Amino acid sequence: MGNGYSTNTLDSTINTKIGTPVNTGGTADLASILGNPSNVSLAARLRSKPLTSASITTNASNTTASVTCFTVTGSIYVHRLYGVVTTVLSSNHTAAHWRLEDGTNTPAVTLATGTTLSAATVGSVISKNGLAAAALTLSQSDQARVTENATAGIVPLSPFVVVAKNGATTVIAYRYTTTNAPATGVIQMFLEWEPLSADGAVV
Amino acid sequence: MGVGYSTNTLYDVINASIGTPVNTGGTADLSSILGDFGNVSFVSRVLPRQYSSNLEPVAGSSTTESLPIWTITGSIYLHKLVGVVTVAMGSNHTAGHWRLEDGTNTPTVTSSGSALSNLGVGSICFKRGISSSVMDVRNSSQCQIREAATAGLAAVHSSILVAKNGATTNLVYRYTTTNAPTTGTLQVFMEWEPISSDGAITVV
Repeated sequence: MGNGYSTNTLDSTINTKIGTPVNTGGTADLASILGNPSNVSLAARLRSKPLTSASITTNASNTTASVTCFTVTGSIYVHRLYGVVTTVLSSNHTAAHWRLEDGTNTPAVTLATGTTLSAATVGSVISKNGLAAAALTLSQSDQARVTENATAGIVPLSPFVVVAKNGATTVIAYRYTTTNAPATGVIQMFLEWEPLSADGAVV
Repeated sequence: MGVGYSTNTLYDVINASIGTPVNTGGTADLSSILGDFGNVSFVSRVLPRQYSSNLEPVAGSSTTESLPIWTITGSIYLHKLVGVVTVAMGSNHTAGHWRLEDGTNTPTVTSSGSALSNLGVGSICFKRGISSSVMDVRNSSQCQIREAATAGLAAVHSSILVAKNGATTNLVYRYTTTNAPTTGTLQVFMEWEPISSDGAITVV
């Protein structure tokens, strides 16, 4: 390959670093060699940026509703926040946006006046591509689409920092308005993040 | 390595992430520890960025043609898209660009307009700007450095590609030639990762 990297090279490098397993007489079982598997897979442990996902059902009835996507503890750095429609959204699904909710305060993650997602098809992507003052982006899968930042060299999926309210539950909520009774649809939300504080975590 | 990370950094991150193995009584079987190997390699699970390449011989004869490179499923994050000339291009190779094709719609990944005529082996083209900008072409007839227009920004431009639901969506290389036929081969590299659960690419 001619562009400075290759999967084969990376494979070889990791294999070299890992070395050849040799039994030198240890009696530890697999769990103690690989770590505690009861909570998370080894692959997830090896990822430096955890990717957490949660599916939310949009079934509000003629109202504006918040749906909790993730609960945040401490402080985290969010690399990416986006969602993929897995069940088609019904009509009259408007003002879609993300915000934080700590029981009292509701700072915007994306613009509160939001984006219309009515009848968004399966596979459509919604994403935070700008500052909190910008509306979330809908990339509708009714046709092939290319979504990118308007400025060359700036990546899509804009990062941000979340600080949870001390002593209270803080969530990243998806909020929308519908005049249907009820609305229908499912969106799988994804959050790629890493902890900033010692207690930084996402559930 | 030249893509923004080093083996040492990667090794350190892996070491730090693994931590000290402690058996706290977990009883999961091996498959749940290591994950499902049925579809992807362990390395690709650990390092979400994946790499793919495809050789595209260009042999059109007095025509404009699209060469399918990859079929895209679901949604993917395109980190880098680069073409490297592995067999010298013929003369009159114009309007080179990448775009998506879903059978009806053809959104551009780079705009039409780059000439690759007579490019020698080792020359490259890559997506440096937004989709309304032409691909950047660098001729290997001399050494060159290419970087972002503004300090601190990436020298390549990343995108999200969404496939049409229920239809085949291809990432294609499209060009025009007046030769009959033209000649050359472009090896196209893509650094990507899935962002939807079904996000994937298949070499065409």
